[in-house]
Amino acid sequence: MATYVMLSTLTDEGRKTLKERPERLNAVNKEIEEMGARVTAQYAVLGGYDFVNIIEAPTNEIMARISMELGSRGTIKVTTFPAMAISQFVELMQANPPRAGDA
Amino acid sequence: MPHYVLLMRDHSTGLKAIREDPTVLEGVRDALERWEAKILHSYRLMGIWDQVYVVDAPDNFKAYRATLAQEMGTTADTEILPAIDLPLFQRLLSQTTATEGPHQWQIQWWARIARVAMYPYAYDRWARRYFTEHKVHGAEKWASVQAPCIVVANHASHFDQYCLMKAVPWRIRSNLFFGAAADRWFLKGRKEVTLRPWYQSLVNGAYPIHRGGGSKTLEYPAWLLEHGANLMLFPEGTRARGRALSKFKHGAAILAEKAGVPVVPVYLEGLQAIRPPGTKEAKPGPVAAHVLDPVHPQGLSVPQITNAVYQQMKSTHEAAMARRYGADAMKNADSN
Repeated sequence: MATYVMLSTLTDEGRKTLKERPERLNAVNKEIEEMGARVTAQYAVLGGYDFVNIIEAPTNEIMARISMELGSRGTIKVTTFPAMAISQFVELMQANPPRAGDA
Repeated sequence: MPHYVLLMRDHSTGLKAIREDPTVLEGVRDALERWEAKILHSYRLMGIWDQVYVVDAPDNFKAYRATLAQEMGTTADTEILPAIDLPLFQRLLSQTTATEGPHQWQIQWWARIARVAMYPYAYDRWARRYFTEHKVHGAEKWASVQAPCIVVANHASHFDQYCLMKAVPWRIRSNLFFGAAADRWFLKGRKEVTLRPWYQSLVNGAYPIHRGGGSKTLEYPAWLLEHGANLMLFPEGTRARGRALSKFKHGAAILAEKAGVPVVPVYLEGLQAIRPPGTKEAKPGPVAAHVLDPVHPQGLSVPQITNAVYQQMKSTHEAAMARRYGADAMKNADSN
């Protein structure tokens, strides 16, 4: 499973729904699971975005589909980034290229 | 392999370098290729970005690493975006993601008869078409194995189970169940009969596994073992992409320890060459199945069971790789 960071911003309509039925948020996590991914951490944030979601999904395709499904509801706008663990990142930066170049 | 869009905006130093010597643009190609990314299309752009490359790379990490290669990093801003094939995306959207199963009826007598009757169609047909040679080593080791048991194998291709099935004696094969990814094999509403959940349960003896599902994923296979059925698992969790054998997950060992049943490792050789992950074409070739020593769980902990299985598989794997690629085969293999 790969990790993705999904930043989301509520639209006016989403803000209204959330105020009326805050528990609706949990239902979304369940739907994400049904689409084959899993929310591993979730924060409501102050600033340019409203939520930070850390999601594990098997492939980019599945993650793209989730972004699409969630975005299509008109309650949130989402931006999704593939992410890697810092340890993985460090390892990657230390690794040699698999193919030697001429240069 | 997945595609990526690499956007670049040149710094003034970069622009100057290109103006003085347009061949420096070739440096981008070299840098990408060193990280196994292949350029499919490249364009000079007008607008906010100066260049765009559509590249084919093994995974997100390698694609990202390629863009950080020095040649680009110091002379341009880069941004790499995973790109999803639009027709594929459309297909995904029109598919339901709801899954079905497991189907407990699959252990009933009538389901077993149907499975055996369908065997030539579901298995032999493929084995005949794609295996130019099929050898089984160590078949005598089955003699000491009493059902129920758990068969584990390395996972290199979608054809693995065709090769494996021929190495398993009928008394076990006729009551053997496979774990299969729910999001691929148990989707509701598939048009093709052979891809429908009931077909998977009935003919292939598959049951759904939800990826990343934790201990809950073991409930149904534990139930199968309790009812005297045999299990088949790929402890690597997914098809291998490099030459190295991936780490084994503990699921098989947990089930074996709990039910007190033996784990039989079977090493499958030659499958990766027939249809590696990410390809659609298959080319026939010789395959072999090596039945290794059964691991009995009595007195062993879960990690010990996994390790006993893994070590046998690993040494067989290394020997197979050396036969195929020469003695240095595993030197540069990715290990994870």
